[in-house]
Amino acid sequence: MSENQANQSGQPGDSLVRPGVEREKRAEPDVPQEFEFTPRKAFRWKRVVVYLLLFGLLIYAFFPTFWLLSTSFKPQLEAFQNPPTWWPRNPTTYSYGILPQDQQGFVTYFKNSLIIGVCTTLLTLLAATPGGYVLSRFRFRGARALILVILATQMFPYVTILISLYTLFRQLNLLNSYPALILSFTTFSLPFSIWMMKGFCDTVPTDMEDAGRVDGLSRLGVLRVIVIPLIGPGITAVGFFAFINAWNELLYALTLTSSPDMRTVPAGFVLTYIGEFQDRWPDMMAASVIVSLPIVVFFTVFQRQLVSGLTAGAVKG
Amino acid sequence: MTMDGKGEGEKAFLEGKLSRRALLKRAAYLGVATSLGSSLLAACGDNTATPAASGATGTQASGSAGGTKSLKFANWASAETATKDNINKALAVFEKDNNVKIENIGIPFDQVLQQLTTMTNGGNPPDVMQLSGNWPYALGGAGALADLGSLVTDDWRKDAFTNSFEVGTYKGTLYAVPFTVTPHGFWYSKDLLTQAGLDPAKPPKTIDELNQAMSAMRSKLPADAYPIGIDISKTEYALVGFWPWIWTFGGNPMADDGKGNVTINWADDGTVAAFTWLQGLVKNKLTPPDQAIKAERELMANGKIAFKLDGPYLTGIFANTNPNLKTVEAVNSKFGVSTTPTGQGVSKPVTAADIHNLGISAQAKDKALAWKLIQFLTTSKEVITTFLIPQGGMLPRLSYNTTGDYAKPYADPINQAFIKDVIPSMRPPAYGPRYSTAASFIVSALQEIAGGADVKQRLTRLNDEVKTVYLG
Amino acid sequence: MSELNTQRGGFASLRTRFPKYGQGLDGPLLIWILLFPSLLLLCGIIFYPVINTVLLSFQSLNLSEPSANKWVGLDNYGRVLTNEVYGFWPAVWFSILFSATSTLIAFVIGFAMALVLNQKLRFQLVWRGLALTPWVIPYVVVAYLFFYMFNSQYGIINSILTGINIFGWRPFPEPLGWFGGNGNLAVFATIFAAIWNKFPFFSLMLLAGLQTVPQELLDAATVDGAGVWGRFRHITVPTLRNIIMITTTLQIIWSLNEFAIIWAMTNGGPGTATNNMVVHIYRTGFIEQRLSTAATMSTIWLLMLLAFTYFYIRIMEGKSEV
Repeated sequence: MSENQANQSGQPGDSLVRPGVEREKRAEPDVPQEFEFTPRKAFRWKRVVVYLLLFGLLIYAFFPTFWLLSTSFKPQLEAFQNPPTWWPRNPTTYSYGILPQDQQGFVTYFKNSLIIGVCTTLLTLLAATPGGYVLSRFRFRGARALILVILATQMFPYVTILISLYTLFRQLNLLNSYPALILSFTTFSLPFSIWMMKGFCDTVPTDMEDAGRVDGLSRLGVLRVIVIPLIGPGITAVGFFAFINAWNELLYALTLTSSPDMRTVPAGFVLTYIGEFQDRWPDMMAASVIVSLPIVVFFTVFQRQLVSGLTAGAVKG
Repeated sequence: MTMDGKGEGEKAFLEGKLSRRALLKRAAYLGVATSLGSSLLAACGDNTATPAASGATGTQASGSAGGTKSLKFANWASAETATKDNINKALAVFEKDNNVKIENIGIPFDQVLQQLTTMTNGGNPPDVMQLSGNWPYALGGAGALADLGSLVTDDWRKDAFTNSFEVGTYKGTLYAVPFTVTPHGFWYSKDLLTQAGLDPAKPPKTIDELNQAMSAMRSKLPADAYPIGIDISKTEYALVGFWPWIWTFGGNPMADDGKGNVTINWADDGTVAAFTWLQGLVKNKLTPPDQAIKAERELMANGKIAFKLDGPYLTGIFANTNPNLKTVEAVNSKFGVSTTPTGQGVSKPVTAADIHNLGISAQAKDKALAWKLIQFLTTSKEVITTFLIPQGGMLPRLSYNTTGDYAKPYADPINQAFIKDVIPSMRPPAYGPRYSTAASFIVSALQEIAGGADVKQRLTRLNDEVKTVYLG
Repeated sequence: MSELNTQRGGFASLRTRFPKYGQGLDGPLLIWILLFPSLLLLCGIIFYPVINTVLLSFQSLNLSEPSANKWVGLDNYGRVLTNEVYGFWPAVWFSILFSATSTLIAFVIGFAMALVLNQKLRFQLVWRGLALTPWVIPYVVVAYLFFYMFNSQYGIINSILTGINIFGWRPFPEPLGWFGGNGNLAVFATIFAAIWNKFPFFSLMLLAGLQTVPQELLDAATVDGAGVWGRFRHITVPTLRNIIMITTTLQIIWSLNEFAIIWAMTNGGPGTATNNMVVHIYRTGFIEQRLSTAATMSTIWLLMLLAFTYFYIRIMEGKSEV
């Protein structure tokens, strides 16, 4: 009975989801990847398979996002309906409309997340860029030990750091402050960022720097004039990585802040939207859409640069 | 004696272990170690210097502020922007009348106890604090709260709801006075009673009647509607919701002898009976298997749940959720409130004394002024109309709810049921200072039993767990 | 890219790059100036706190009664490791289960997605951008979204499952209580959400790797009569070996420390079914206020992860010696 209703209420959605749910087990990496070099007509069926697979994967990748959007346009009552409606029956932008009024503190959270995210990114870059460069270019006593330490640090469970950071910041009266959050958010981006920067610098040829040296530039001059522009994509990628980490962080944000004025978006979601009295799903989904949007757009626009930076730095082939 | 005192010992230890000389020596060999070591020492150095400094600023802050006096008021209502503005408006009146500056500190409900403990240990506690549950016990037991016994007037004590002062009393000392009174009553949906062929004017009065009504409903109601809503989430609040049932079935798993000694027996017969009943509810699909109270409120507003223990503020939540329940009249026409059904363990109905109260810090400089603020918070028109009434709880002075200017919002049948029947059935749970820690274990057991774990076995294990927590 | 890498050497070859140091700002001093911010931060906000946490594990600090704190030696370790009331080992096992399964499945899906996206498709960039979106949606949003979709009373997933009807066979006649029961379904739900969040990371990395697979090799193999599977197994996978090892290891370690998704979805429940190590430590330290117990658990957890890290370092080092 519920099945019929679901079918009626949204044909497109219905056909959208089932393969997606099944997809997880069936997805097998058995697709040809170079068929375009063989005569086209003979392999048309393969193209069909590829598109089908792509379609299935996209449904898996996209259905939850679709649901996020769909719910954000529902009125509160409809979000609790069983069976759920595929498309909002009474679409409303109410949940978006209330965001700027800051009833739930959304504007504050967003502002905090932005400030903390940007500062964390800058701090990480400030440390990781020269650090990674040095580790890539220079051989000095202790370099190897340092590289090992940085690799090991990446694996530290950050909850271990948190326990002492909490007591430390408490003693320093830094709980509920931007510096505490920025410093703590840096803890888990920094080691990986140094490593990524090092990896990226490894892939940048040294010829230009050598040439610069021959032309009489000081090493500092080489850094400024030649290196920084060359490792641009690496910086973008590391920055993106640091920002997205900070943007996502929940554990530190929950523990190191108590005042609502200092909450970040994730902590705000946990404490306010899933607050004390009610689950306000549409409001939360609308806020989520707004929160995700900047990153999705940024990611789409800078895709190429990010991918080259990330892969070169983190996992050069 | 405080955390800072300990901190010093810690640092001395740290510095002793990693002597500067040893580090420098090693540093000479290994470049990395140089910077590692010196930064580490620098960090230690910082740390040694700062607690003293922060302590100093702490005392300054609470003492100074020139000619005008200042008070700090911590509460969770101000943790939400919308209510904070209302409270600030109300507080402005007090500020003007008494020539004080009030710092209104909002702390989210989940973190109040932790924050108040931290602030107290840091020597910088709020003067007046909003409390709930076992917090008066935990803070009072730790010496953080002032004795209010001599400040409370007799006419307030006489004009108060049953047990509303008791929940603020620990080892014979009054640490907190009532602010709003919000116990759980037994809500029932008249529509679903009617649908199941039952009399909507006669909600079940005993557990037997309740069980009968529920099985009648199960056969008549659609599969996605449930006779009763029990909070089965992993939150401390799930336990607040379950206490009345434990007592009703005759359980007394934690008892406080009034001197701070808590006796623990989570595997007594009544408790086992209550949890067995819970397991049956889930197994027979009489309650949703995995929902939190928040979700069950929405379900009830949507006509999917018939019975539920919840506070008086549910009227407001219904209005927020369902456009058909926008008015108090509409809610009253669809829902009613009664007391928890009685069971083998009790002769009279019982519910948990869920109260928000107010306490004064033991470190407060001007306790008389702090008490004045409490009086303002509990009796002034500004606070009552802009905050207490919209919140939906009962006012701390009994007569305010029944006569005079403020009685009107409490005149509807649901609120009347709370005032006349539910509140008199309040009983304080055996809150010890470590109740919050224990609660975390208890709700885990509650979830597992709801999910089908062997009741007796699981409760015996829970007993061990809770005892471990209480004994250190 | 791969050409460059063959020029890069291990640590030995680094020496040849700048044979002579200059003086002052042109030499060692520059190295230390450039390294200084990293070292300062590493020491100040990572090593120092970690050492403090270890110290805390030898004390009896409870945040509700900080004045009763004293040194207790190894007592905490004995209790945490042997007394099952502390719930340490179940949390370890769930962490491993969660991390291993979610990484493995996310890898498979991510790889499939990468292979598909590597084809010449219309609107390629758009497809890529779209397919990788889950990675950039904040974890908390992912958690609540799936929590909402898995809701037993009004969730879309139950609605779909109960709707399945294959010639009268209905595998799910009744809605499932995802976050109740014995907890197995909750384990599935959290892993499912984590996979969705993670697979684009693999797609992204592997896609970049796939673009470096030498086309001549593939063509030659085709000429030699190798099938699709053969080419995949003998050329694609070996070429991507490093990327595969590194991404999976990284992802395993990140997932061993997952917090947001689990905390926001289940709080570790029902019971302790989805209590992973981080959730357990957070609950013990900051909800139950037993900070020293939490410090003990996290110290042990740190040692366990360091053991795992040993393998990671070997992989990373192996790579730079290629």
